[in-house]
Amino acid sequence: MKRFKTIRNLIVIAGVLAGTGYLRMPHEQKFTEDLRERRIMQPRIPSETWSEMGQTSLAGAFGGLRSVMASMVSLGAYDHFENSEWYDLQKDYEVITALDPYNPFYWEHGGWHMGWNAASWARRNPDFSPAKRRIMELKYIEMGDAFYREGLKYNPDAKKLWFEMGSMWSHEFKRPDLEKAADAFKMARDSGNPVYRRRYLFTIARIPGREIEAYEETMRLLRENPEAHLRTPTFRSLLVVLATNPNLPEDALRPTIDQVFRTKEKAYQDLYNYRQRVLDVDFYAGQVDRLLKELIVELDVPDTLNPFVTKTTARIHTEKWREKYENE
Amino acid sequence: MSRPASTSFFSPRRVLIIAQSTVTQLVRMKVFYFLAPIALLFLGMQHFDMPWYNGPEALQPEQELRMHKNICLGAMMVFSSMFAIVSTALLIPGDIEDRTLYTILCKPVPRLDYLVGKLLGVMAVIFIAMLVMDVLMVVTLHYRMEAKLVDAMEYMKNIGYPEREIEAGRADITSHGPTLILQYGVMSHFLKASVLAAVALLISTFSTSTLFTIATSGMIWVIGEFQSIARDGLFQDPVLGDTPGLAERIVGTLISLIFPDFQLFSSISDAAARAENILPADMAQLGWLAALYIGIYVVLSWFVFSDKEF
Repeated sequence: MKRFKTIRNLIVIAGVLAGTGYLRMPHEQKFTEDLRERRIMQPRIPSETWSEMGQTSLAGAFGGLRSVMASMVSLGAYDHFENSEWYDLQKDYEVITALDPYNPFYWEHGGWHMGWNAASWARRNPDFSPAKRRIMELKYIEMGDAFYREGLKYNPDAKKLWFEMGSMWSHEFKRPDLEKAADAFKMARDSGNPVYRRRYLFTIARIPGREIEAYEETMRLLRENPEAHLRTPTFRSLLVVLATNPNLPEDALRPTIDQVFRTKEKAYQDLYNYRQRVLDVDFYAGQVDRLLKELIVELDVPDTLNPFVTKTTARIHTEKWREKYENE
Repeated sequence: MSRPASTSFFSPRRVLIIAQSTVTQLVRMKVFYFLAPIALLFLGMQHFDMPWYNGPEALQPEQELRMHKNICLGAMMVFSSMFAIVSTALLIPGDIEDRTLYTILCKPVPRLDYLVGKLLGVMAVIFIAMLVMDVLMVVTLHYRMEAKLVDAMEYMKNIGYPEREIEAGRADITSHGPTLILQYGVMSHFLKASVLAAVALLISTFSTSTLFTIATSGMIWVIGEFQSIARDGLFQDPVLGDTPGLAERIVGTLISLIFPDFQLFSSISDAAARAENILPADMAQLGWLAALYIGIYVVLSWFVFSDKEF
């Protein structure tokens, strides 16, 4: 009798749960789809990522702790970074970003680890032949790029991902591809961060043939926030140097040294340093030499600070400049 | 000769008395001692910085605050869900063991009142514990957010952010502090724990051992977390997605019909930690769903418990 009752109860429970389940299922699905569309619910974890997830991550994902697990795995991934275990690190970040794809921070870090850290490790690895170093470095840079791009699919408003991608492709000690970098920086130039806004200009100012575009970008930045951008020595220098381009239209605004720099000494210091950047990373040269020579005469600059007399790769820093200039 | 007083089908007063005694019973089990390590964890979080957060240019205030919220909400979820299962599983066998159940049921107390009272008692204890944890989280998060706000504002001013962008940055960081949306996350955990308590109540009405109740409820919790994956397969567009095979469809249908969808609750809490725009309507829908689940499980518990012999 007792067994009959138990079986009857179980049948009734199963029947009621199935019946009510049939009624609630479409509503649950609709609610789920609505939450997913509004990014409140995380997207499904791709099937290939399930196999890469460790037991802890799986338990976390099942336990509804996806973001917490992503944080925990990212802490563990730091050990792989410190030990230069790049394959494990890459797999970790695939899991982390699958667990919490709406967090641009993880995409940025995944890209940074691959495109910067792993790539630098490959470039300087004495165990590799020069050809292998180059191949591995490029492979890791491409991996970093892929991380940033995938992150942007989930987080299209994350300007920082565009910025990091541009920084990676424009870095002089990596494998610079300035056109790729400019494309990335262009997407970040509407960010609120003035540093991000200027990087597009600083990149196209290094690409031969895009000087007029760079000049127009300088004017755009000057109009939108002169105070923030005029604080930057490279921006001040570009403002003057790009305006010396003979191919600019007749009526183009050509700011003078007096209008841009607070003092002639400051102008000399900035232009001197800018000239070093022209030599180092191919910034647009324009007529920077002429401007410097005029200032040398006007300021009676000592030979030690005259780049046409004393060859140096060092920049002039404000303190050094004052000290040397006053002593001479 | 006076007629015996008739017993009403359901009495909120009786339910309240049983709920109160359940709270007392659970408090005597020293469940609130659990809050001490939780408090330590939340306070300790204040001083926990990620290794890559050094330097002003690496400043990621939202990320740190998000991590803080994730850990606090995660701890709340684990505590509330486990507590809901274990305490509910212990209650009925406990009452049988110390013979309290016989003294209650020999009085004119309908079994529905007893079950609802027990469930409400467990929910009340969970609510109090979560309230304490919530206050701790809000206070620690507030102080951390204020500190991050000062650093971030200083950095933004130094590098020349325009005023309106500074304001936008401030709003962004503040949205990761203690907000109403964060409270939605706490509420969703409370609702989930309540559903789990109702599940454990149903199982404990026909189970013969506490261990079986805890293990089965725990499994239902886990299955409920991926119920939506099974259900998704059934609603997959046959043109756009991979259509599941017959066996997968049968298993998917069974899981979707029988088990609750806990992913919905977890998602709201997860989104609260990310400061996504959760609407009051979402919470209403979630509350309605939780009430539906609890209602179904309570009615089924009553059905099983009503003719149970002791």
